Amino acid sequence: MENIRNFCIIAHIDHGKSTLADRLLEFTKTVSKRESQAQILDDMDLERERGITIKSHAIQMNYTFNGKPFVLNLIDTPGHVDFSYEVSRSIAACEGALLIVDAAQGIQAQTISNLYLALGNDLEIIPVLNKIDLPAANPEEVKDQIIDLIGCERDSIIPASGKTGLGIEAILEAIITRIPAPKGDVNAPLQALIFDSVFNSFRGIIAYFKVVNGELKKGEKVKFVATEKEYFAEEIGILKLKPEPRDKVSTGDVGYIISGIKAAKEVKVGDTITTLNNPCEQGIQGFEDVKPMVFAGIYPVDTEDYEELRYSMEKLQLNDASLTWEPESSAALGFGFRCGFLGMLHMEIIQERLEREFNMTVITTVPNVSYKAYSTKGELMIVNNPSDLPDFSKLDSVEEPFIKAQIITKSEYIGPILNLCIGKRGILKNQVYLTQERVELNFELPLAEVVFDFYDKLKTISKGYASFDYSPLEYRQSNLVKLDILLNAEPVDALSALIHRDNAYDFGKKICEKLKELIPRQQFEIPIQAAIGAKVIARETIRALRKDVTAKCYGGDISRKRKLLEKQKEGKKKMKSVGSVEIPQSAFMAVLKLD
Amino acid sequence: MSGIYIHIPFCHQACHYCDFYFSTSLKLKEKIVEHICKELELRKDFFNENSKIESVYFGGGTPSVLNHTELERIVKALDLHFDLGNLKEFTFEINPEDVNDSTIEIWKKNKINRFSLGLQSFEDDLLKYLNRKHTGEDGIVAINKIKQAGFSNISVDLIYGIPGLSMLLWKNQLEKIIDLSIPHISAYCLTIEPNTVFGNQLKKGKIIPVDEVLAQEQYFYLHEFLEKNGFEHYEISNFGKPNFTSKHNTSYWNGKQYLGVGPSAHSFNGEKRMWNVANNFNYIKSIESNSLPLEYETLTKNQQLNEYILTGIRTKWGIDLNKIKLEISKIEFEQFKNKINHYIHSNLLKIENDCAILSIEGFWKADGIAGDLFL
Repeated sequence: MENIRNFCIIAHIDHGKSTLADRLLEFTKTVSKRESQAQILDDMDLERERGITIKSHAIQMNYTFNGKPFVLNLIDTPGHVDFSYEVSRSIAACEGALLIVDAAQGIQAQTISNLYLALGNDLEIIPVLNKIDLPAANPEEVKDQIIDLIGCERDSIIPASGKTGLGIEAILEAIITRIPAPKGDVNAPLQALIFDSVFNSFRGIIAYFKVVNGELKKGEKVKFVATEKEYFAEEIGILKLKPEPRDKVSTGDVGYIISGIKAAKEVKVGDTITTLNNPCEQGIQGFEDVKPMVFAGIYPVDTEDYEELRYSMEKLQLNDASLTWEPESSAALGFGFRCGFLGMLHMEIIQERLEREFNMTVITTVPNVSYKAYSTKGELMIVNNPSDLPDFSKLDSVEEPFIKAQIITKSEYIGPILNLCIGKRGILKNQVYLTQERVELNFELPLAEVVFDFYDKLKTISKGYASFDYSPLEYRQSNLVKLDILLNAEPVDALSALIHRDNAYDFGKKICEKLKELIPRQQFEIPIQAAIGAKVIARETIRALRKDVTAKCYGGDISRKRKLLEKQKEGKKKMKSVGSVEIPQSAFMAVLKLD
Repeated sequence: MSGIYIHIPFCHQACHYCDFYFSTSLKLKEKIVEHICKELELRKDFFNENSKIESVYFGGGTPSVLNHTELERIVKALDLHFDLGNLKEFTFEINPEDVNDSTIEIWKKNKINRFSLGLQSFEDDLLKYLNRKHTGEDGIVAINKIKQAGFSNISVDLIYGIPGLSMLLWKNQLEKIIDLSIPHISAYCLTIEPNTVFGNQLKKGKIIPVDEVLAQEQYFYLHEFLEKNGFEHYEISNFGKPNFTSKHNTSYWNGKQYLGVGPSAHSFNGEKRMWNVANNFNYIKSIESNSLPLEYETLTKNQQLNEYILTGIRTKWGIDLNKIKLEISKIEFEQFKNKINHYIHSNLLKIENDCAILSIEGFWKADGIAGDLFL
């Protein structure tokens, strides 16, 4: 156990976490050059393309230091706010963390919140100043920021470059000498913390864990404390580049278990594994059932594909337990599912995975948060879909969730950011200068406003120099109205939204304009109306399409025109007929594209 | 039946609507001619050995910018490398301002037997708006001169749907065409393409596109009026008296082979579509080093069928359902028939001798219908 070091990496997106991890793996010969590809740990295509980590991963390295062999377990964590619970569990499995900061960009909000998590779990922090070779690097100033933040010694900050490999050896030395070995009692009953799981189509669910106390042996009967389910430890082992089976995994080590579990929802991140023979008295602290923050409808474009969509969602849920859904129906879209997501990125990922991995063409409706509606009789109703809001006459009040938002930016962007947040009904709570140029702003904001286009706007107005993190606060009463959209005089329930009354007119006008832009002209004229109850507050008209032919079609035009028409045909397949109107997928997300 | 197209990428001035490839600087004209001749040599084996060339078409740009020597050079090269023994139609695109006794003489000498005249309109202010170099009167003079020289196979281009072209003016124009006894008309609704002067003006909000209702009215009138006067409406934009339909253009629409020579010209050999680089300088450079400046794509069976649908539906012969039936599965054909029936019900299409043929209303929506029928 003295030779084990468990650590994670805390870093902001693009600060070079994955590249630095790649270098560590190469230096310790965990991967050969031949096996090497960029972002080794991010094995989903989606992760590589977007340069983000969605799932947690773990990999074991062997490294000899001063003649002694060491086992280093790197637990790679997601970097996005949507996945902060997963991050917290990964951090709980470690004794130390590399804090990687881009020498040019400095500390970002996401880094700080994860750093606080790590400090709260008593992790030993090893600050690493990455991308030191960049011309724009500003090492001394960023070092000041790091010292301010964690109160470390200046010379304990390791300069490094994932690109050139500079500092890798020093990092490994620091991991061994500074991070404490895991503590725990080998002889105590088994307590193993689950920090993630993956789905394998042949083996079922593979759960990743860290043994906090005791030992797990192959073939033992095990029990998951929170779910109270019992399994047989069919295969256990450690995680190298590929899983390597072992007969036992002991205190302090990180490993995996395969036990014939079919669905990811049976394996809850944060749950504790113990043995049936000698069970522990209680689970490891900090377990939570993750709750979805954002809800949206997912519908098949072709209503015939409903069953196939259900099957695909079930499959997806096998490896993504945080996805929740229940069947719902919409007058406009037919049968589909109301899904709960951890956040907007999570929602995008699910939609993209449905399209890529299951070849489903789906419509995702306007996302919304979960509201609490109180009827005049005083009954509470949870509203996850705007169209479920009770009739106005029976409605007493509506509450919406608020969040505490933390924004770190350069002082020159304070003005526009204040404007943005106040426009989104935010309340400035606090403003702290971290350094002369860097400011931390704290807001209370309705989550619903953040769900829409907040993050993109924030990035735009700050030219990328603002980072953002949030945590939930309580529900608060708000003056919300249901805004309905009518196409060709038919209400399209999937386009309804709950909006603050003060914003309703402006919002209604913009959404009508946007829909006019997104819905192609058809054989007849289509009025677009926005209404609150029976009152129409905005209107646009899509003119009828008369001419649909171009005059010339000679030699070269033929292939050009064929390609154009083929493309249009593909686009049309992705359109949904609502009443007599064909609506493209993008129109259902129009709300997210308003200026 | 095979045809050869020669692209002459030069114009005296740029029309505000045109997005074909051309240059208004004539500096490279002689060089281009030289290299077109060389390309003809490089591609002399394009057609099967015993394939006879039935049509030659000089388009542009403006072929009538070619002088005597230049035209003769290309025709000689054509003669040298291809079998023109069966040549039936030799079309030359001309602009009214280039028509005079000496040019007519040159064209006659070089076996040209059909002219396509870029008339566009008889109205001077519309011609100016389109940035044409000639007047309406120039057009009439040109037509008369060609006819006096003994040519009868003349086509004129007309444009409708121009802002400022009223219904009354349009009717007058068509009357004039009939008075001049022209046997072939290509009439195009003004399309505003992005990379043109009009395109830019539209983007900046400086012009308002013509009222669609009026453009449609002009098209329907055109159809009705010309059919009444003995023309066949044989393609969306083309009208011909019996025996005066364009053989060369018809071959494009019937999926026949054609060779296109010159910058930006397209070729088709039955399964491959090829296109030359649309840049005079690069064209010359490539031909100089004996390499063809072209890219190509090989059509899959489906793409071939889709092109057949796309081009066939634009003609009065329509698409042969038996031909489609042979190529696709029973289920696919059922679905195809369902769509056809849908268009029959909306009076956009009719079936004659197992061919699906668009009505005049259908012609006006041909792109959408073709795309919908794609396999």
